[in-house]
Amino acid sequence: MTKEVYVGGLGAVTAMGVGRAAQLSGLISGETALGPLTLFDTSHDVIVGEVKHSNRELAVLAGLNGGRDYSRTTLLGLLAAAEALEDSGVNINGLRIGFISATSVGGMDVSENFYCHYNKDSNRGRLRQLMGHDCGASTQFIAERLRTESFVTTINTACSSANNAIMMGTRMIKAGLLDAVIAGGTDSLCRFTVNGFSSLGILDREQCRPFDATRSGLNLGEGAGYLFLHSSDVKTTRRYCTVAGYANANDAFHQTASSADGTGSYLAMSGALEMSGLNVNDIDYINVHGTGTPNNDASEGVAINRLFAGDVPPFSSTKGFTGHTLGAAGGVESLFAILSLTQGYLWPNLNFKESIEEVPGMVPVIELTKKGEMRAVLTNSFGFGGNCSSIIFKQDKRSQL
Amino acid sequence: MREMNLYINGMATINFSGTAQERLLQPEPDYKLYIPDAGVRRRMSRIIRMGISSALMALESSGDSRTDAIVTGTGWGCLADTEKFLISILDNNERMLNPASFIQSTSNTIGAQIALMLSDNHYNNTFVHGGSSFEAAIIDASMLAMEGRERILAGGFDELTLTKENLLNRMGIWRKHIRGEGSTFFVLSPSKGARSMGKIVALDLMGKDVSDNEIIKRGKELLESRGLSFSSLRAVLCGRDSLCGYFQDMKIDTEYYKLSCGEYPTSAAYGLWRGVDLLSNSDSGDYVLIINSYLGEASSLMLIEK
Repeated sequence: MTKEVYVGGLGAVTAMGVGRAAQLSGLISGETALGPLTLFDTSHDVIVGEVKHSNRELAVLAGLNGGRDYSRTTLLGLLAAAEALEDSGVNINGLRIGFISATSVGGMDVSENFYCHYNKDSNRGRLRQLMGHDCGASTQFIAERLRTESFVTTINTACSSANNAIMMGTRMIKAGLLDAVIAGGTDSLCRFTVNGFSSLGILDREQCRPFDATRSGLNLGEGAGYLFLHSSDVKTTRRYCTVAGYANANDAFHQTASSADGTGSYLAMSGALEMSGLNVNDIDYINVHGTGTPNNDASEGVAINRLFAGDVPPFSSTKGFTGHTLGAAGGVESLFAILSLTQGYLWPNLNFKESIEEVPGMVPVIELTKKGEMRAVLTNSFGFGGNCSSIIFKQDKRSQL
Repeated sequence: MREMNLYINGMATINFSGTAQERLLQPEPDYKLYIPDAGVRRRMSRIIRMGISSALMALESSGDSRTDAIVTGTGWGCLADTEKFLISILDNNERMLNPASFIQSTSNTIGAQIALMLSDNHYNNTFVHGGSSFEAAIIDASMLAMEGRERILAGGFDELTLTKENLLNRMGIWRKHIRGEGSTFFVLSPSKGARSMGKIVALDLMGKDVSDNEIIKRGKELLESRGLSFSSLRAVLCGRDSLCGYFQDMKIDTEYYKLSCGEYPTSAAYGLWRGVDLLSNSDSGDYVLIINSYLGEASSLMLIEK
């Protein structure tokens, strides 16, 4: 069980654009990609992180023929997963390669349209629109399209889903069950989540302000992010880093709220650190979950402060760029953390002015900072149901060109 | 195929089959024994009550309420709450919505609620991949056991709401399949305990549209790798109607278990429960093969040993 697992390819789509290059330039620009919602009609006045392409445009980009109701989740996921595979440069013939994807809304955008008709008359609504409803449908479609079917599954632990998909993939490679896995997550904006988070009163009408004293909620986003994970036997174009540690823990406090002392997040981070064999001072950057809700940031801040005994490494929430991409967040933000690790940048935490009351003096990275060599980065994703998952990516010396 | 060594140290199942009317008439377990707070119980959808209770019943049967991982699988997820929230969006024109059904609509609700009730801070994961969701949870459990976990609570559940029943009816599913829903949980461990009822020794997961012949071939391979054959099995629990005749013709004790539980994405969990139940009256060293297919979506083989 000591096998190293490497990241050999990256793919992402967010409000900042399609492809990992768009993510890098978006983060370097320091400009938010958040804006008003245009994808569908809603009575809510919200700011969101929309991918600026219609479904038709996304289908063309992904090389799909028209005439089918692809869910937006499927389209975003296919674009990002195909990019991760292509980036690896691997010829998949003869490899045991799997696809493990996370999603929390699945094909809800299409199901909502179906339901508008069905709700009026239970004999109405086009059944074909429902084929993509189940969370597994987008995963299955993408896996078949990319021919990565040695093992295919879908994980839904709400907003921590994609980190769990990356963990599952890493563990299957370590256990010798697969040679490579494309793992991450995809979620699209839909009425269901806009209304859901609105009903909980945790959407900010302004731009979100993660880890700021005046924060008052999150902005929803959409997108997809995947890593091409592989064993040392698989030859890829480059090796970005290793997956050095990870842990999944449960806060076991409340279905939607986090505990004041951040038990779950502390256990996830400390578990990942313990597995990696690294010390707290080896962590050069944390991409925090940092949704911008009063509860999450307080709980996560307290847990980070406890783990690092007050000496907190540079950290930021990138949700001010993309919004909260829910089930995709762990995939997208793992990619941001890896770009930080390999490019030597610390990403700014947009809209920060004053530190949170619960951890006075806890200040995130405010401006884009170029550092020298980075050793290791930590990324957090936490979700409803107390699900907390953290991953540490480490610079792989041998992968340096 | 995946070899594993997972002892089953506790288990429980709750199932309902037949039409909506018939399912409603079937007796329910006494949920208040497991979810004592009447208000909490009332706010929970049917699947949440069923899921939590069967999980706690499985722990009870193991004689120990401790767990160090919770892994669940569900193909359909929490449909009733999802639908309730969708209707409220439409009916109330997006205004003054009650978040309760939104909160309970995510597929990880049951795994999370179990952790909450047990104050369990350990690993917690939920698989939502249609007809192979439960099998994915078992694969995760087998890795957790290899990684040193001792008491893994693993289960599969699905609810057949009226809407789901109507939609599957419009798709013609009930012409060939029996309506059903249920929740089944197991306490799994790499170590044999005083209450061990058997162990899962192999699992083979197959993708879409697998033929009867392919399943027979894979079954033979799985058994031959352990020096066994179909005729040496104590029984075949067959969750695929078209295959049952093949084993009956070989004079093998064969049970089409979907007559009891009906068809739903995680019905393999019931098949496993029934298999272990059969082994309880059986001799040490006996094997049962569980074959499951969910519509055309996914098929699996599980081999269990007493």
